[in-house]
Amino acid sequence: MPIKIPGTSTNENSSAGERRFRAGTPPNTSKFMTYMALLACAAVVLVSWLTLLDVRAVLSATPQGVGTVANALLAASAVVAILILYPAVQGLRTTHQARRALAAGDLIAARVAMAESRTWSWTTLGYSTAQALVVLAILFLIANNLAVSRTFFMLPLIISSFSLVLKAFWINVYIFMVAEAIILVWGLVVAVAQLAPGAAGKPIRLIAKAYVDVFRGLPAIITIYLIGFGIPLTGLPILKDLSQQAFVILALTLSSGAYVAEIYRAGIMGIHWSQTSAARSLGLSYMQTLRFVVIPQGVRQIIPPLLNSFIGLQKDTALVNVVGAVDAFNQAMIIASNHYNLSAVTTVAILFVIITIPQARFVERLVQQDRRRLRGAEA
Amino acid sequence: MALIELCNVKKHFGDQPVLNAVNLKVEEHQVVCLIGPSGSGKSTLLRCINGLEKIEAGEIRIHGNRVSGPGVDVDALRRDVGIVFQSYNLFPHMTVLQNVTLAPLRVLHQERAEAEATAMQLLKRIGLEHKAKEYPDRLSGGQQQRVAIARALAMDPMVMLLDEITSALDLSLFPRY
Repeated sequence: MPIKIPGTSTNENSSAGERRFRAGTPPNTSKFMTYMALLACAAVVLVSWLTLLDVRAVLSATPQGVGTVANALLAASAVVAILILYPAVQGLRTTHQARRALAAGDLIAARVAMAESRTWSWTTLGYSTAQALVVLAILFLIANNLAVSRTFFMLPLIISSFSLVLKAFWINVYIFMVAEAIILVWGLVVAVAQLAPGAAGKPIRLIAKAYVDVFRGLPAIITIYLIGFGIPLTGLPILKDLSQQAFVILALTLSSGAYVAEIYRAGIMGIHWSQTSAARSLGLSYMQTLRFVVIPQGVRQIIPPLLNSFIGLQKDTALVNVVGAVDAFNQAMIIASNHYNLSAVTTVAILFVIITIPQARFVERLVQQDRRRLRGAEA
Repeated sequence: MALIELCNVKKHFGDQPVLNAVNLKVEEHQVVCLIGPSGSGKSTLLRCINGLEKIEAGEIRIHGNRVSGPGVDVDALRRDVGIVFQSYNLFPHMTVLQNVTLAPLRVLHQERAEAEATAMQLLKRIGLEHKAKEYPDRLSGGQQQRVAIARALAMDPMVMLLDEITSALDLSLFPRY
């Protein structure tokens, strides 16, 4: 219905009847959604139980058999699996409640109950989906008579090779820590060079742009290969005597530095020009404006993408095996080929994932704290 | 000699003329108000005077010195010509005190104690000394505007360009200035 402005139509107001607010419409108390949720979750519970029985069957076929601990865990899982029935039942209950209230003419109570019912139904569907995905993962692990679990998660091998893999992992940590420290400065330098003003800045802009174009386009693995094998071959004084790790750090710095420079540039350009106006109007020079006004604000904006880039760099340290550096991945591959089993590689995978999680949480907290400091308490 | 002189100043953004042969003379201690409809170029005129916008023709002189065209040290010019922007443009990552002391510290190279003492005096004059440690986003529009005035005054300018200076100020505050 078009919005009418009082006084604009002369004859409609009286003849077409008065407009009513539609807020008084009774709620839709259809049971469809509730029953769908109930059906879906019942199906998921059924599949979960069948899967747990399957797990038990597969385990009892192994030489160790099903231990008491495994039995207890399976029983507990079976109990947990039916918990999703609770919101489904609650959904059913509140729907009936809403229908009763509506029949009694209590519109408000009916609405409240129906809103609750919808929330319960969506909750049921959400948890059912999640549980179904977990069940799928378990089915994959026990498939082909536990072959999947044995290939990737052979516990004895994981335990016996752990210290070796962890030791090699420090090489990865060392490489990315040093590279990140350099990149933090290098990226900013390149970004500022890309924004160098005026005719005098043009050659600087061009060379910075060329660097970014080349190293952003170049696959990191090729950069590492070219620098790691190439520089020693050139026989250049000083450079050729650097350690293999130094080459790898150099290659990763050049490669990731191009990305980080673009992130810095986006952050700097994202600061509204009125901030620059204000700083320049106070007599601050171009460089002072960048240093005190633009960069401090720009950096705040780019912390999350910067972390993204750094996590990418950390993962790229696994590429250093192309020049023969024995990092965690290379070490794990050696173990894998010796034992014809990939469980040591799983260890590396888990290590990589584990180190990124605290970083992500730390950065989230940092950003939140800063926001709380600069803005009102509600932000 | 007039303090500010504008002779035939022309400025356009693309095809659109904004300032069309503007002439203006402002004497020392004179207060001049520019009045005109929205979009008529009042803010642009102010931005031209302290060199934030380039003019295409004409000349701007301050105390007889040409301050438009090439070769002008705009940083030196802006040290003596303060501007308060319509949208205040406070630095959101700095406290009120840091906003006010930034230019005295970095441009005039004052001692921190001296700059902060001056800033606190200014903040007291505008009734905001208790907000010195707050960040701009926590201030009301009127408070932000007053901080912007203090920030410009902290450079002790010879000329003040005030853009819509009373837009967010309460009438009861006027006797303070």
